[in-house]
Amino acid sequence: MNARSARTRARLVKEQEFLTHHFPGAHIQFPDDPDRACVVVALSTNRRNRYVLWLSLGDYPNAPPKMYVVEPAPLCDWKGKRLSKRGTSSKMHLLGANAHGHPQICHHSDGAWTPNITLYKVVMKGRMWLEAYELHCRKRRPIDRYLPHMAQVV
Amino acid sequence: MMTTANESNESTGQLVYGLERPADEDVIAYEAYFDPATGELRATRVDDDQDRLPATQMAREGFFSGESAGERPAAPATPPARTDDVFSRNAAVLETDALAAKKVLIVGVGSGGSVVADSLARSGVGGFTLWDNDLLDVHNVGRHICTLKDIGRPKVEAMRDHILSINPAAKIECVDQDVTKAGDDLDAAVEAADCVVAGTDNNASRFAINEAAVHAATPAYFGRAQTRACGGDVIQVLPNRNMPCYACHQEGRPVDEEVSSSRDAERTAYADKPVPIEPGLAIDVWPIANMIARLVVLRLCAGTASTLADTADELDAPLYLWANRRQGNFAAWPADGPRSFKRMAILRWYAIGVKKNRECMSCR
Repeated sequence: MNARSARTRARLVKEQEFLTHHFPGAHIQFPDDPDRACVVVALSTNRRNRYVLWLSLGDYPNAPPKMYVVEPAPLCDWKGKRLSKRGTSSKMHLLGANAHGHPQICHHSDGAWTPNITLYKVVMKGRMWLEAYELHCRKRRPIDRYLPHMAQVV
Repeated sequence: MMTTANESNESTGQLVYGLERPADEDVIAYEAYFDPATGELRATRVDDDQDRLPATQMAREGFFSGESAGERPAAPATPPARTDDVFSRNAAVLETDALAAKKVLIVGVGSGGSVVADSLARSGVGGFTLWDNDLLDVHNVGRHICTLKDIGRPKVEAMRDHILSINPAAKIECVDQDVTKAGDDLDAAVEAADCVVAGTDNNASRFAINEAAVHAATPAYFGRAQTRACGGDVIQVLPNRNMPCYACHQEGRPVDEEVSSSRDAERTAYADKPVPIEPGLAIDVWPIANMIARLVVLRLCAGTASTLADTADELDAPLYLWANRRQGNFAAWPADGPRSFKRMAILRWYAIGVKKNRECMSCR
């Protein structure tokens, strides 16, 4: 018996094709094992700075994957303080860091998540966060000044 | 009249009384059993299930040798499986034989799922697959069907015993597994069921159940309580090309996820901002569960002679909304709503139309 349904396995194959097309080198590793499945994506911002995102897929597509910035490490705010030390921060769109101290980007809340969201869209949200992060470093303003929060339920 | 046999069948827990008559008379056998609903010992003629006499009357007539008249024997350890008596009050309303052959998969037997399971068992549903990987904790008891005697037990086992105490003939499978990582197992369970009830408290499991149900064309029902159970809704997903699936309902409509632990809080939202806490009262959660049970019974009785069939037109909407209190999303509802038929009011069900998402990857 497989921990992922046949439909989810087929979908991940399609997601892999789509990701590779837009982000050469992106690859879904261990797709059949929710505990280990992940994607590593290298990308550059408009200012040509290079970053590496690591997505832990978990129960994707039924739950949002966790997205971490693994390079450069450590990732610091404009003061030079590690972002991982901020923990969960709504002002910086961050959730709790992983055991290696990589900051986790908040891209979709659980309540706003649907299985229709592709890995491509998640990575693009990561890319937007990185652009906002660079603005934060230059302008010394919190990231939520540049990125609005998603609609929340009252 | 002479009684020659009087024995207790310990293997089944049934008290069996054989009655012989002289050779020149018809031999009539009676089976006596303890009726837990009334606390009485009753008896049934083996050759005619319709002919029943109170055991006390039979005792007065000397049917039970070796016992003094009117004395009640000790109740058997396990009630006998006489489902026709248990559901005798349902028979005029429902096709109880049809329900006995049906099987319902209930994923999540917590405060909502346990009430659905209880209501379906009392309606005469004969088959269940109970799916939950949690243990019954003290804080569950305030709004769960099971009680303090079941603390520490897997919820599926406690509920299995509860259903058997209502209907000993029920066929029950228990699955103690994380439904979000069940993959093929979930698909097989959904395909084997006539209806699926999602009583879980997070969207990841609901999406997994939704996808399996849509794929297997099995009707599925999702119940959700809002923050502190100020209200809730029931989503009905039927195998119909125009009916939205659970994922269609979620598109562009963020929900406040129930939070029952600090781990959930971290997963669900920014922990540095207020998050919804786990909803509260049984009286607020159970109306939602009862609505699900009603919809499931109606679906299982489709095509049979049922008084409930009259409600089919009222109960075919994809979404039903219920408010317990004018709080949260219902804070703007008028206080005099219950005194008017034209205004939104608490403690009323509202059927709501929802469009199918033609781009939905779960059901298109």
